Amino acid sequence: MAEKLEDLNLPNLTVQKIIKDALPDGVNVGKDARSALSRATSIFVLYITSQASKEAQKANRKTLLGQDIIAALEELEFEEFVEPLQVMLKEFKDLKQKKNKTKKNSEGGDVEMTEEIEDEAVEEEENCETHE
Amino acid sequence: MEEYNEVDIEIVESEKIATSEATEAADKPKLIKLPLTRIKHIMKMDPDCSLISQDALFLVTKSAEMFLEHLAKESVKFMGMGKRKTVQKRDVDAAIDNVPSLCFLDGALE
Repeated sequence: MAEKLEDLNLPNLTVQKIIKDALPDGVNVGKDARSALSRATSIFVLYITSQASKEAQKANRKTLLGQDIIAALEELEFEEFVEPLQVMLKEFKDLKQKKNKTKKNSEGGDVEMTEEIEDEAVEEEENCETHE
Repeated sequence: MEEYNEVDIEIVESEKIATSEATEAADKPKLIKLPLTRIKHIMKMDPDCSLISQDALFLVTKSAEMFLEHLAKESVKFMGMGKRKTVQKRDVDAAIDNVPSLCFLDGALE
């Protein structure tokens, strides 16, 4: 799997907007700082993923679940993120459910698929184990 | 080789939900700004990471956004000390040196 290095960087404009919205008006961010912030965020993703993978392994799972991410954040001293994240996760799930309902009304098929994705991930895991 | 194409499709769908649909539906700002697929690619660099649930991907993406904001704000504190109005890389470095939870970045941004 040859991943180009650029593919691991986050999109510059999006990063810029997030930074701008987070900081007070009148504060500018230099190009080198912006680049550093963006790279730091990519490293953070890897850092959390690595810790979360350990959590999943402890539980003998091959699938990373939301709880692994939460546990990782707490372990790595980012507990302050946990509460707001849980609120937003709920919003995300609610939006997904709403979308599934509209899909049901229009298509009438494939309704269960979206809700079973996590189950499918687990099934995949079980299938993989039989091959090992 | 991807083992979970349905999950990938759902990730794309989830991105639509969290970005455009959220805005259209309730005139609220986007639920997620960073692209889920890009974050997923980064996560897959970890050799121990195989399957990722949608919730996990959402949480990582969202926490990355929060982290970016957090690091930017910490860096501004060090800029303020120098009475400048532009955050520079040295401010980011200073934040990394001084904030305990950021020590994982030590030396990583050279």
